[in-house]
Amino acid sequence: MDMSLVLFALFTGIYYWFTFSVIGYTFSDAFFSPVVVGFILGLVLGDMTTGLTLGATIQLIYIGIIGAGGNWPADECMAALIVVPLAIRTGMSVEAAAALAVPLGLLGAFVNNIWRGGNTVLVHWADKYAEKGDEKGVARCGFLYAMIWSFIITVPLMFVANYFGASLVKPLLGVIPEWIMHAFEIAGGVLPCLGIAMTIGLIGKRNNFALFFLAFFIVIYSGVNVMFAAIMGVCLALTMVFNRNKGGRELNGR
Amino acid sequence: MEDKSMDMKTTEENKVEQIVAAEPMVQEPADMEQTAAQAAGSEIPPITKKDVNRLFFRWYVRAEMSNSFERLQSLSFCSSMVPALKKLYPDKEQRAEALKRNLQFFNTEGIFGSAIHGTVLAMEEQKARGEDIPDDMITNIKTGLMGPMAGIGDTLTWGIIRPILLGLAASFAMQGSVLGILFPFAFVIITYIIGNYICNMGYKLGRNSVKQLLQGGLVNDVIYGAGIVGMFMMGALAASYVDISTPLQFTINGEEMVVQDMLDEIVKGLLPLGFVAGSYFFLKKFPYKILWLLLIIVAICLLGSLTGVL
Repeated sequence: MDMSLVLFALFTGIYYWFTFSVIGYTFSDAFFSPVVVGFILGLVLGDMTTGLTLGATIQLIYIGIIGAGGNWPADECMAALIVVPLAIRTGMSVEAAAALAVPLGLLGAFVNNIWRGGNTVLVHWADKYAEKGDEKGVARCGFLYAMIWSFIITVPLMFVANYFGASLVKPLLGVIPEWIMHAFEIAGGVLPCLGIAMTIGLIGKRNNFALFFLAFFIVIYSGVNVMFAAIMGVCLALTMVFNRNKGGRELNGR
Repeated sequence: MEDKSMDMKTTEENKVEQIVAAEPMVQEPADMEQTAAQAAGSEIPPITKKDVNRLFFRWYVRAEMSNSFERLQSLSFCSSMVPALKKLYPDKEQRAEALKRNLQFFNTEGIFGSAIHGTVLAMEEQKARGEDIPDDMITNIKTGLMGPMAGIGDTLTWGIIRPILLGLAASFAMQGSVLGILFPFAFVIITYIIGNYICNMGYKLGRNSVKQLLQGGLVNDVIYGAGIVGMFMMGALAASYVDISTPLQFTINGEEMVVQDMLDEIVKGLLPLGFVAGSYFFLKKFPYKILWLLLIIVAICLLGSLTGVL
């Protein structure tokens, strides 16, 4: 048994447990981000460039995908935790590895459903404590027991995935036909359209739709980077908000 | 007044309007002379800003920790209220009632939804001090606010702030820059500050907070402005990172025709735009069928790869 591999698999398991338990509403979300996962695993495995670029690619696949009503359609953190070590240890291309993140993200969403089913039991325990006026018991159900339950379903799973993952996938990579690998690479490139479309559907209104196209063509034709576009967007938004208020006040005769 | 309180008990249907309608009930008892119950209530230590901050911190830490299919965030809500309820209800029986009351179904967006926690805390405090606030009213206000606050919060926190910051994170990390990891943590700090502010506002304004929040011009301006930045960023992200082109080429009369070059001559970026537009219309037609859309895109990629079109 390879001790360093055991430790590494255990580390990913505990990391996954931490993000899965959602300690801190948006706090754990930072560690949930594939960019951060890529950075940390890259640091641990000694290949930060692959970690960061692969993390960024996975991040973009899932960008803008939100869980409406708490239903996460995919778990990009789980995907990144399995795929980043896989890519670093087997040397597969970033694009192909990112495409593998797609089915793994779906598996993560499935685990999430099991977890929430189990949490139903905790609510019933809390009911019983509340009946007795035992506020400490209620608080325990909301924190300690919730942590124990998520430990059970996350750590063993991630440990197995990372302990056996690379040795299982490596021979498989040689067998997968070229065209399927190529399809995975295309999918990795095109899938960000999904979350972007979802976000547009959420925030797009008649009064801001043209700006999507404006930004799209500015970037396509000039190739300016995203930070520059963000600055432009903020300036534009401030200008439009203040002008709108001015117009509104004049209309109201103020 | 009596009629209105009866209305409250019928529940359902336009709860926000009920909240607005029930508003005068707050001030009324406060103006009344001290009753015996209120005299008992005055022994309760006052709720301070520290208590409200603690409430938000507890909520922030465990908001999603015990999310279940049956009652979603109800356990998180109650659990975050525990220290405050303990302070307000020294009597064990009353405390048990309060715990049960706060364990009912709850689900909202955690950052902007924290206005509800502040509001409920304000009402529990009034109740503990002996004011006549029926249990139903607290529950109704809570359930009536969940939807609207989730709508605002999902749009701002998860639909705009998060994709913008993560998009920037990815664009830095893509070039191998470590600076990229700063943005996810900026998301943490920004949302915590907003949530803490909103929770305090909810407590201060009590039941009125909702009306002011939902009808006030500020929220509209914020959503309008954030929508602009969001749409602009989505355009920039689509152009930068939806990466697709066709390798197709024909030879006509001995002349090489590269399809991608021809497309670029018309308008650059047609294929990425096409995929975004296709996904957009699919989700418009079949909301929540994101899994199917994902599978369709993967299928198109497989087909495209097999035929050599993509």
